[in-house]
Amino acid sequence: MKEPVSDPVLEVHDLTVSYRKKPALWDVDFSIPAGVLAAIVGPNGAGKSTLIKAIMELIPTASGYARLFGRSLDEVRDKVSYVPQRESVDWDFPASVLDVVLMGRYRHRGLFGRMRERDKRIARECLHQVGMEALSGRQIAQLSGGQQQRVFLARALAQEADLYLMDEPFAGVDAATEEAVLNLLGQLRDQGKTIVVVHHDLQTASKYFDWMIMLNTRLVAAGPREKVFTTELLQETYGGKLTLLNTLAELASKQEIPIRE
Amino acid sequence: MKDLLQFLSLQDPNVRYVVLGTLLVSISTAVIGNFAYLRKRALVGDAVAHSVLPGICLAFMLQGSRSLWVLLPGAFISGWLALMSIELINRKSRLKTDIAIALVLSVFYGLGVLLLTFIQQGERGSQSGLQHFLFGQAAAILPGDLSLFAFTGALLCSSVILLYRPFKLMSFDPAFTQAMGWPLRRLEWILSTLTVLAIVTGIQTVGVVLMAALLISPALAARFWTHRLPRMIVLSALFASLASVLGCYVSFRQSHMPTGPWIIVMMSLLAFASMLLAPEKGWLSRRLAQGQHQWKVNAENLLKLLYHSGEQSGDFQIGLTREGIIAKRYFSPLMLRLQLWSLLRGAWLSKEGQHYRLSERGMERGARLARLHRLWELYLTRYLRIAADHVHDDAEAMEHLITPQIEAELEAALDYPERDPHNRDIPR
Repeated sequence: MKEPVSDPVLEVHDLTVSYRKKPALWDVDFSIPAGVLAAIVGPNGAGKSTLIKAIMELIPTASGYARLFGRSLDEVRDKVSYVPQRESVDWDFPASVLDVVLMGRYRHRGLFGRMRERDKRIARECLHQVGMEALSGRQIAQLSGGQQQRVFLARALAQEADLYLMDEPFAGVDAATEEAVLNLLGQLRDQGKTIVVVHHDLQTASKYFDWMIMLNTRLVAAGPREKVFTTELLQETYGGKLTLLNTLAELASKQEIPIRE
Repeated sequence: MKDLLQFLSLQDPNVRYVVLGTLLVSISTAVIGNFAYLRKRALVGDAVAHSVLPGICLAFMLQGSRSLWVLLPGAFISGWLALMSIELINRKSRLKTDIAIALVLSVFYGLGVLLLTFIQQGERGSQSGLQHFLFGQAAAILPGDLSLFAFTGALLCSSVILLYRPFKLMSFDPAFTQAMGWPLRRLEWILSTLTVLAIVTGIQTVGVVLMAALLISPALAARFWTHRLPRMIVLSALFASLASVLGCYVSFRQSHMPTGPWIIVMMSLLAFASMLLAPEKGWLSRRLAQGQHQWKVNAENLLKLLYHSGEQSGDFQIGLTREGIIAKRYFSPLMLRLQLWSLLRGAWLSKEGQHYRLSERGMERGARLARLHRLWELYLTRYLRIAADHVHDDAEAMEHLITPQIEAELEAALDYPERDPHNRDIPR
């Protein structure tokens, strides 16, 4: 099931990605309209993070492409914000909370430009939005998991983007953080921004998100929640890999044959 | 003393060259080393340092000169090739990073030793002095080398200042750097090349075998003292300078002592001292904090014990003797005396004859502990479904950690209970 979208903010076209010759995403094709809060759901190893990384061109793709605002990523970087997984960085880095949030302003100032008072004001404002204002001078090594995630979120807000791609922002966070962040994402959506989130928890996904991309190496469904959040489609998403697709993928991986010529 | 003054005055030109040379080298290596440390590339640095040896030998064989201006370009090329080989193996093969590093290090270093042996068995081999590049020979620093060191030092430090922001970002979060559209690969390439340059410049002073220590230990030592990257960089440079001057001084006093290895020894001592003594992150202060907590736990256990005893007998005025306390809960006699003395001084207790009894504030604190203990037991039985006879040990540790804020949340979660799982009163 795939909802056709006119004038999409994000269009993923026949995207295929393989890790060490093993397909992680197979012909994934969907679009997302502006102003939705979209969840990418699927079982472990379904390729959810891979999809976001491929859209951000952090990993090579075998075929297909993603277009953002109808353009290539390089043309619209200022309008796109990426939030990596919290565990992808070493939090024992010598930096303060404010330092990290200011990283969201780096692109505005370039490789060499000085940070201005305005950037600091925006950074503090973003910290306020995630409820971390009081901790702006704190060492990032001293933060809890939920606080680290809020810092990453504040850094993304500081980028002042229109499209947010977030990789598991709710992994290992406390219930209070999860709810605060979900509310904040809702506010962003109401301002017309588009948010795409890799998400694990189907319960909150069905409650807070209005668009869903169901993934299990291949695309199972993409569309408004009320249309795609059905038992049948969920079973198809979580009910294991397609046997033949899987066998062929293993075969390609073992013999190191690229799955695209 | 006279020696020291003579050394510090730098009047002897040889001393001057050696001190200035090692200072330039160690400062610039330490500055760039911060990023190698933060990006967890210490072993790569070690592999590159070992891998410059064949380049030095080949440059000597081809040009027949042992001027640094001839040897260092050779060293740079082979170090850089080693680095690129590690990257290539990482990216293109299924071998893990540690294997790639070990492989490149042993192949390049092995080749270097082979060439070195070959040169030394040749006609002019014994005079080549190339074996000094294994452990360094700072005493051989010439005025001409100084300008080379100054040039690379200036290049390294100005690059770090100019590219500070991208270097910092890519060390912390490479994916974000790339997603933002900054040229991550090119930046990595620049940083790696600068690191190779720093290593190459340092090998005459400390040698290929010890070079990695000069790259990493200043940053390691500095990290213990600060949480800010700019301060860490400055501190690492200071540590490296101090170690250099100390190393030079040792070999100045004892002329048969090698300068380079002594610099490394001094640097390692500084790193080790930082590990032990640094406030907050150091071993000593962490142990001290643990000791303080243990002291507090003992004191609180005493107050709680006196409270329990009063609760049981119904009379808080009787109190307990030291023997009475030990009969209820074991304390080492010395520790008990110390704790009681400190509690008396803090007016938590009063003493009448041999009996210790709770003062008003001691009573309050004892009651609070009993209360936290019982609240936590109740929480465990209710929310974690743990049986009532299994919750005591856990509560025994947690009662000392619960803050007033957590206490308030606990109470609310338990709906302001009055009795604990053992049906004892929860004191207000």
